[in-house]
Amino acid sequence: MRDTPVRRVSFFSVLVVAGLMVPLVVQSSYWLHVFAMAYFYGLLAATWSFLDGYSGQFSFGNIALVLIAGYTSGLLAKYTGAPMWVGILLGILASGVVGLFIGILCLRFKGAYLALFTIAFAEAIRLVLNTEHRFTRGPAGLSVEGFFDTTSKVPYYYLMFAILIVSMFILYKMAKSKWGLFFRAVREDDDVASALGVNIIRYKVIAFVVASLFCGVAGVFYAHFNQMLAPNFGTLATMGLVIGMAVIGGVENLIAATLGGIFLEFGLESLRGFGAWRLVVFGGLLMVVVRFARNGLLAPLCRKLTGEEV
Amino acid sequence: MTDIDLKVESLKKHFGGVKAVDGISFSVVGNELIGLIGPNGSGKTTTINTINGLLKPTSGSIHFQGERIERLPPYERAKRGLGRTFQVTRVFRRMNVMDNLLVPALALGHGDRKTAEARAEEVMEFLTITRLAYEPAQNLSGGQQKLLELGRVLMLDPVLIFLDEPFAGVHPELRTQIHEYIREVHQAGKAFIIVSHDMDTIFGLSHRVLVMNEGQLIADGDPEVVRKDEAVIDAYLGEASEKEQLEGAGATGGDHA
Repeated sequence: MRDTPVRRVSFFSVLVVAGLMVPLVVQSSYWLHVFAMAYFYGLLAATWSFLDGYSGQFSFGNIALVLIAGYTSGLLAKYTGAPMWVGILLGILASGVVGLFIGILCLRFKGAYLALFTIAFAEAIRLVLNTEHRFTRGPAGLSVEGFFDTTSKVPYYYLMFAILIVSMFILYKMAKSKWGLFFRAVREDDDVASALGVNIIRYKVIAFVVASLFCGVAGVFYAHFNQMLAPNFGTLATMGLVIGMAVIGGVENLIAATLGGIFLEFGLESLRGFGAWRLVVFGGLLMVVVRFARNGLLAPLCRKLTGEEV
Repeated sequence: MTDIDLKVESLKKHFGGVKAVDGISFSVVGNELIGLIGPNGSGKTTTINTINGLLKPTSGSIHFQGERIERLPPYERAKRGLGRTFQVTRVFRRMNVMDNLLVPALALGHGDRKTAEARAEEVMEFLTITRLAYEPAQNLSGGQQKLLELGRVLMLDPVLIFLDEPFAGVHPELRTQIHEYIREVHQAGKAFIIVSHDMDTIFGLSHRVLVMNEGQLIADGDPEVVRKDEAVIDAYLGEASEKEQLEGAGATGGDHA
């Protein structure tokens, strides 16, 4: 498919304008909160799409990196009195550094082995945060200072919207650059990519670090938005939810995966009255997509609207 | 034209007790067009994989353009001018033809994206696959995928190209087409080592033939001499159809230059 910049810019402009207008239309604090959380899940789904959909690294570690960033920021403020912005920067950096180590440790792993390694890592992080309750307050959760001194959800909405737009812009630019091309080549066949001149170690690690940094961005927002962080947010169930969102949207298309995260968070919140049944519906939808639409439900639409393959 | 100089000395690759490659030595000087043949399991593909870097040698040395390369990763060898295709075609299936071709050009930093795209257009035109430029590689036929693999190697602009079974499973018309592409690229100054079971084509195309059997190099020389070599004929005795091909090779339709 040839490049169609006008169609692409129009599509993104419509999304941005629609996002900017939401607080003008939606007055309910509850729904503004849901919007912000939908953007948070959209960003997490994008990180998973970036790591698995583009570079072929199936990781369960994203949710642990969210916890690492959030707890780093929260604990620094609690124990050192560091300003919030210092905690935020160090939290994001901590996620990136941990991602770098995991990326290096997992260089030789593919598929199920990488998944198992990252499951073990994510569970270890969660259990340490739970167990060290004297330091972290464990399951009771860590209180974290809010970004703004207001009960209004509007500033939080715009902050998370801005974070999502900037993050997506960076991830999208990377995915469209020659790095994105190399990520996909590594995903398809790393031996062949290497024989064609691609430094596969470098690009596998870069993908892990970039995804980890954006998990960190999502993590510090989550902590300072909800003003409470508990280890059990980082369960495999939450990670499964993120993966499901990306897959239902379209894991090999960054925009589709993000929209999958946003729409499904809305869907789950809208069906809250149905209790656990909404998760059954979610699971059923995931099974149908995996069986009948492996490119996701939104990826074909995104391709049509942007005129792009990825 | 780049001077081409590959020296393989006492190269061994063992998998446990299996001696896939067992102490072979040969060199390539200048833009030679070499055929590498041997019965199934004789170590041809393992030799290519070891020279290309996908496998680490058990022992021995590989010098390319005067530099020792056997410890370098595959991408470093590609940067130094070693290109290859694979026995079973391995295109990037979920990427389109253009993106498949851009990977080697951009990985090696051969100009910016526009330059790489222009070069890709030239390569697609040369291989007559321009109409498939934005088609996912998985939608291509087996023969078209062979051409795409060849195109990727050309985008790498290597000085020495290993082609592993380039004629396997392709239509006779396409076989002739690939044959012509190889001759044209060779005339432009590239060296080739071609692994194939298609004896007619190998003996017709190559200027020199290497023969492997049970991990060892049992013959190396002019195709006409190699064809009559006793050790080579013995090696093929166990494989009647290949022996018949060997004896008939070059006698019909060969255009050995």
